[in-house]
Amino acid sequence: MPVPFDVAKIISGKEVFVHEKHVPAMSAPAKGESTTIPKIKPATAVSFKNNEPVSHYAENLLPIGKITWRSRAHVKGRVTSIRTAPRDSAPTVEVEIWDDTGGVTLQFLGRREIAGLDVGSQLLAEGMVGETEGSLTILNPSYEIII
Amino acid sequence: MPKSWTDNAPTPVVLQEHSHLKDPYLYKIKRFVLGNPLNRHTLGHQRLAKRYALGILSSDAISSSAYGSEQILIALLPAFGLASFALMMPMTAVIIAILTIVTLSYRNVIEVYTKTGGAYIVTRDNFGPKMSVVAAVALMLDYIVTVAIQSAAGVAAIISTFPSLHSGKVYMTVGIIVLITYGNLRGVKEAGKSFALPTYLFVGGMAVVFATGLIRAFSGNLPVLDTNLPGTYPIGQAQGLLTFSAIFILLRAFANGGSSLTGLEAISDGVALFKVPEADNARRTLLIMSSILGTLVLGVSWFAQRIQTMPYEGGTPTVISQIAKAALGDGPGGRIFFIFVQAATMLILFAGANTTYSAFPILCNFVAADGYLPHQLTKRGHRLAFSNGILFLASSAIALVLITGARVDRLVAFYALGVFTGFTLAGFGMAKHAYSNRKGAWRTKIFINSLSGSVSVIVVIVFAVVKFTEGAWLVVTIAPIAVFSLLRLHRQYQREKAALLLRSEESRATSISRHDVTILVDSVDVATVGAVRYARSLNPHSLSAVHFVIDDQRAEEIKKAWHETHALDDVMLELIDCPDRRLPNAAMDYALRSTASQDVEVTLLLPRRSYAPLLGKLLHDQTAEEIARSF
Repeated sequence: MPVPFDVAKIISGKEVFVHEKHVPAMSAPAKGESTTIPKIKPATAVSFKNNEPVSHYAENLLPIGKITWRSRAHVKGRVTSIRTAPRDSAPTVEVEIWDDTGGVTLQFLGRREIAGLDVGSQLLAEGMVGETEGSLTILNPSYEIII
Repeated sequence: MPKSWTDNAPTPVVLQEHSHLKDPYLYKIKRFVLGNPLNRHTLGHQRLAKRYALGILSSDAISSSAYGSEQILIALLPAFGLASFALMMPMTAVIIAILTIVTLSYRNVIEVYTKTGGAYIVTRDNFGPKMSVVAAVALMLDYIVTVAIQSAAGVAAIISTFPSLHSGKVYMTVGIIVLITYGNLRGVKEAGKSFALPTYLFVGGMAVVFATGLIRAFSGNLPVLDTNLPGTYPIGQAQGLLTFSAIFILLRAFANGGSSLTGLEAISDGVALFKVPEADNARRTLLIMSSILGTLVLGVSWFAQRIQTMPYEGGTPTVISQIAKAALGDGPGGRIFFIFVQAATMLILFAGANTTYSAFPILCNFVAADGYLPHQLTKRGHRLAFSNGILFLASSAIALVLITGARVDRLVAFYALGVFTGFTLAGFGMAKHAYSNRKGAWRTKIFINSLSGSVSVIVVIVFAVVKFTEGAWLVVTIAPIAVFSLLRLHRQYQREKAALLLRSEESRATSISRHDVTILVDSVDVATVGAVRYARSLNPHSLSAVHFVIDDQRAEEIKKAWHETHALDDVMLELIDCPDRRLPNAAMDYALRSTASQDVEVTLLLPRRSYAPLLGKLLHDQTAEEIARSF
């Protein structure tokens, strides 16, 4: 409920947001995250079979919805948001990329800017999938900006 | 010599006059027109002695005798011809009988409801709020018609004296309503007591008229007027009294005469105005008022049939003025006194209209406070009067006057339906009250009140049927619609109230467990920095700024400016893609996403820059307003 005391909306009983977002392939990336976040499996259920670096070849690409915690992943998506740390805190850049199956945050530590990266551009990223605040994050991935 | 415990400290001074906001031009005009605003503490409770209360509260009721008998004649004459004058007295007798019954019923109302009574309160207490809406609508419609009819009849009194003014009738009536409205908006409380005067002038004047009339009648030189004058209602042929149409016309005449009873409510509405013991004083005043009213109606009817006054189609000269003229004779003294009586008639009619102006807004206030009318009607205006109610009343009355062309006989068609609905509800309500309390002479009370209720309901039915084509259809159709919409209004208010109800599980006033503040940024300027400063004062868990990217160039500039501005050193800037350029939607999505977890609340700040009202609309887009509206 956006404004807590919007009486008209409370009375009408209508929900203002849609739970199940369909994602059209061409247009806007999905922006809701509640359904698209993959459930984090408990640590015991995770298999440690393949921790080798994934090659940069396109055939190894994984849909973002399929990536799992604590395994390496090579993903491709559209940059929907770039978060830059302010001047007086430790330098980081957080980039969110989305494809049709979901989104993942890429965290780049130790830098304030990624040259040539704009919101809306396509990005390939490869790295170990970790977690921050309940959602999957890839820390310091190796990346390619697709022009 | 040290002045205080700290030397060289500035000498303490008294509080200085601080700066005030400049009054806008419109407010200056308002103050010029209406006078200085009144402090709410001046809303003292004024108590009235019986003689003033009688004068003030009964002007509406007593003044209706000025047109009641005339309306009977108007209905009778075209059908029965000169036989009408013979029917006049029985008709008047019935009306006086009803007056007596209703008065007894209202005595009972005053006895029980010693603060304020009136049909609305009685119905609300005895039949619940749903029925009370019916009473409210009936009374409100009635008050509106009262204003129209009283001012139209007052103007008719002026025109009867000065027939040359006839063409300006509608304008004069509207002018009078505007004048009374102005007076009430200004607040005429201070002059309240002077409103008692017209009643006494009128009653005194009529007493003289009746006395001289009686003397002349017994000495045999009371003239009988010529019944064949141009402009009068056509005289029909005498016909049998038992045909269906004859009965119909009789009922119509009776319904017309019922308009004499309007205004009886006023005293029961204003019981709180009386000196202690309020109920006793009010009851006595009610009795006096009803006796005066009865006498006047009786007198006017008697003289009307005695001298055979003819009502005119244009409404003037009125029957009461013809009576005064005939009784007082054509001598110079008679002529002067005739003008005096006419002036008194006019004054009491206007005073009656004025009474409505105090009753209607108070009724609206009650109804609105119960949640059946817009809450704006409970607001007091510049001069402590319920301005909204007054304006509502005035505009409706003016509309009615314009529609009917300020003709009393047409206005009467709308009239009395509401009054008698009120009498009905009050009568039955009091009967129920007596039955559920069963104290004292409760059987008698039940009898009187049920009788009053039943008689009134019969009058309502008669009125609705016989006057249907003349205008009662309007009331009959408007009233249910009004009742229905008031009930809907109430439902809306109830729902809103329920939505905002403080439930025990939500009543913890602890702080928000996690409060994030996000500033939506479109450029880096003073407003942005101001927003950041304000956001910090909210003490958020995390403070960030978001720019929705529509234009990459712009995003780049903002990013650069952000990093160069020292004030923004600790605020994280996030650039979010907005590929479809629907900013409100993007902002909404962002808010939903940030509040996905249960205990997080997000405040979005939109630095608002407002520009010149008209030019600004042209020069700047209203994106911020649009975004704000979507929430």
